[in-house]
Amino acid sequence: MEDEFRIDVAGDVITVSGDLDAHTAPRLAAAIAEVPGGPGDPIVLDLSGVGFVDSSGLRSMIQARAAGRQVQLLSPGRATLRLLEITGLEDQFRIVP
Amino acid sequence: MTASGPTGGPGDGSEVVRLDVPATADRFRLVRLLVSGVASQHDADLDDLEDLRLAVGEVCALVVDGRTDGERLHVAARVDDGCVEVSASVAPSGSAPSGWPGTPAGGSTHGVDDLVAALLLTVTDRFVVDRTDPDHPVAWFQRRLRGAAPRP
Repeated sequence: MEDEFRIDVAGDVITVSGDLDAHTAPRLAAAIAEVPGGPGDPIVLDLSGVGFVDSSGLRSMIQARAAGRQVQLLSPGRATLRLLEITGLEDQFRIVP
Repeated sequence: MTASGPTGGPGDGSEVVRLDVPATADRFRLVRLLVSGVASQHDADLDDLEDLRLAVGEVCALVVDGRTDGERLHVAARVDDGCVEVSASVAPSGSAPSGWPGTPAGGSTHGVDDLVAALLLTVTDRFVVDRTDPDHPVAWFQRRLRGAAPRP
């Protein structure tokens, strides 16, 4: 089965497309870890191309927050917003429609 | 990969669809597609499908976590009277269960990560994880389709 997951990094912007799950979340975590900067610096996750995200993907985002980064979620889709709503974590990220 | 089409006795109102794949996380997407497909044939709405995909992914991760090469992930799904049931289990290669595996007699939600438990409690009506046999973990959930009308 073709893997459609993709990550593109440009500065502090990480563009993710495909399904963000237990299989692909480690790649996002690795990409986040490579973004230059430290506590207080922003990381932008462009999630406009993410059709599915589960607890594994969410943990990658949470880890970025735990490292003190300002995590901005750009254009999260219905599935991502639903997950944030379920877990009550909408306030932990800056969400830009 | 082994996929089995609908089975189930006449008059019992349910079709069981089974999937047997390597117990690795890269197969979870396929399992999600399978369960979505089964549910969509029973008038599941968009919320149903999204919640089911989330639940399926989480239960697969619960049973596959820490598995070694050579083990198989067995998933069975059925819809009966507007209610979806999914069972996910891991077992050594060559031991695929037949028919509907049934609801785990033992097990609970104890020991499930808080985040995962919160997710499953929200998107399912009931879920159980049975690790009584650590070599054969089983996770099961049930969810009524909001978009489906029950049979008269």
